[in-house]
Amino acid sequence: MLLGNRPRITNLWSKVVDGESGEWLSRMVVESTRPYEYTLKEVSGGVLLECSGAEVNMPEGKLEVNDGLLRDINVEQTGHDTVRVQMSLEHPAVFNHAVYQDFPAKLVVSLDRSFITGLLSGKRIVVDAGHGGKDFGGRGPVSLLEKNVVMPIASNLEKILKRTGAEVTLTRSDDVDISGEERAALALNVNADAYISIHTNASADSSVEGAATLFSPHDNNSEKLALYIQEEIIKKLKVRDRGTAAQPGLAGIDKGILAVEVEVVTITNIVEEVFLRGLTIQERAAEGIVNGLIKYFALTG
Amino acid sequence: MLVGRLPIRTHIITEKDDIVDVVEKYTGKIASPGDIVAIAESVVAISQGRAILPDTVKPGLLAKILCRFPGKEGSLAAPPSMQVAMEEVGTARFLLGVAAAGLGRLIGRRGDFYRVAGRHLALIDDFAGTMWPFDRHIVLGPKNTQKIVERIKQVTGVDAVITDINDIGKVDILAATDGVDAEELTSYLKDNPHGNDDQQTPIVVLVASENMRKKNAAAQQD
Repeated sequence: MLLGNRPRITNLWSKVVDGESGEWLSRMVVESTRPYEYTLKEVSGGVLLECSGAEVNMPEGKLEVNDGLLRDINVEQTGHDTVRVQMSLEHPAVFNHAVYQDFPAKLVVSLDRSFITGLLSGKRIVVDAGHGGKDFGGRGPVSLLEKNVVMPIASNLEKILKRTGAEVTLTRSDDVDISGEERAALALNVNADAYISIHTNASADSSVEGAATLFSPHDNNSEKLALYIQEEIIKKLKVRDRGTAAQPGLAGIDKGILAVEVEVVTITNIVEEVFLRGLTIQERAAEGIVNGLIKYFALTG
Repeated sequence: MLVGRLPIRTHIITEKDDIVDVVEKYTGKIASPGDIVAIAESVVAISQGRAILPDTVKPGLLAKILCRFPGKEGSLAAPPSMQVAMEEVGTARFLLGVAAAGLGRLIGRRGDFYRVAGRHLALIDDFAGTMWPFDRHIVLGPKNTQKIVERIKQVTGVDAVITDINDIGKVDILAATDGVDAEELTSYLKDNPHGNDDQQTPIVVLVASENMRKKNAAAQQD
C-alpha cells in the first residue's frame, strides 16, 4: 500500500440479510482502504452518508439495487476529499450503522425492512408453478421443460414471501398434473389474497424473447398488480418487456382474488432457455415478483 | 507474505478498454511493489473483444448434437457456444476430445475432454444471464495472459495474476508474474472476492505484510 494516501473508497455493495436478532435488513457496505470521518442522516426519500477526508476509487454514479426497500445508491466525489453516498428508499426505514476497522475498513448501514413485513404479513398468497406431470408446458430448443424450471422459481418466491410473514400455499411441490379447476379451487379454499402463477412464454418464432405479466380479465386490481410485477421483473431481469395483457385462463379464479400469470422469460428463445437454467434468473424472477407485490400493497393498502 | 485483500469495484469493462490501463487506473494509488493484483479472466477476455453474441453464430449439426452431452448447468449447453468452442480449437481436435471423454467415462475418469481438446475451453462462459451487459454473450477465455500480467508489472511495478475462480472454491491461476506464490494466493481467493454477476469487483489487490505495516504506521501519523 502507498504511504500517506487518503482513505480510498474501493467498493460498495448491498444485500438483504437476517440480523442477529431475527430482524430483516437491507444492508449496505462501503469498503475503503482506511476508516474516515463521516456523518449519516435521514433525508427526504433516503439516507445520506457524507464522508470527509476520503476519495472515491470506484466509478461514481448510481448503483441500482431494487431490493424492495433500497432502490439505488448514488456515489459522488463532491470535493477534493469529500464524498457523498445517497441511499434512495422506496419506503420509510429505521436504520443503524457500524464501522469495522479491519481491512478493508467497512462502514455498514442496516435498514430495517419492517415496512415490507408490515405490508405482506398475514397475506394469503397462492403460488402456482405452472403445468406439471404429463403437461410439460413449453420446451426449450435444447431440452428444458417449462414444468421443471417454474418449480425452483416458485420455491424461491415461497421462501421470500414466507420471510415477509405472508401465508404461502403452493399448488404443487412435485411433478404432478393439476387441472386449472383444482388450482382455482385451492385459491378459493385458502381464501387467498393473491394467486401468482409462474410460467414461461413459448412461441413458434424462436426470435421472440422477454417477459410478460398476464392478469385476470376485467379485473382492475389484478391488472394493476400485473403492471407493478411487470415493471419490477424487467428491472430485475433486464430482458425485453413484452408488457401486460388479459389472460382468459385466469377467469376461473374467484373475482375477489388478485390473479396474475408471470411469464418470466421465453423458453423457446435459445438465449433465454440458457438463462432459465441458471440460479441467478430463478432468484431474480422471484425477487421481482415480490417487489411488484410490495408496490401493489403499499399503494393500495 | 500476504496479509489482506481489497476487492475494487470498476466501471463495466468493454472491448474499448485496455485492461492494463484499467488496472493502473484503479490500483495506481493503492497497490505498491510487494502487493499482487489479481484480475478476473472474464473481464480480460471482454476487453479483448472475446464476448460474442449467440445470434452471430451459426451452429452446425455437430454442435447441435454435441451440446446435449455436457451437464445442463454448465457451459457449452447450447448450440452456439458449442459451435464457438469447436471453432476455437478446430473440429478435429474437438472431436478427439469428445472421443477421449467417451473413453474416460467407460473407465470412470472425468476431465479427459478438456485434457485433449484444450483446457482453455473450460473458460468459456455461456450466456447465463449474469454479468450485465454481457449476460447475453458467450465469453471465451482470454488470450496472451502471460504478456498481459508482464505488461501490468512493467507499468505499475506490481506483480499480477489472471485468475479463474468459481463459487465452489476452485482457483486457477492462468498467468502470473515471476515470484508470485500461487499456493499462498489461492488461499486468499478461494471464496471468490471478484464476486459474480452484480458484484462488479474484477480486480482484487492482495496486500503484502510490509506494505500493510507501512499503511498502519501512516494511519497512526494522520
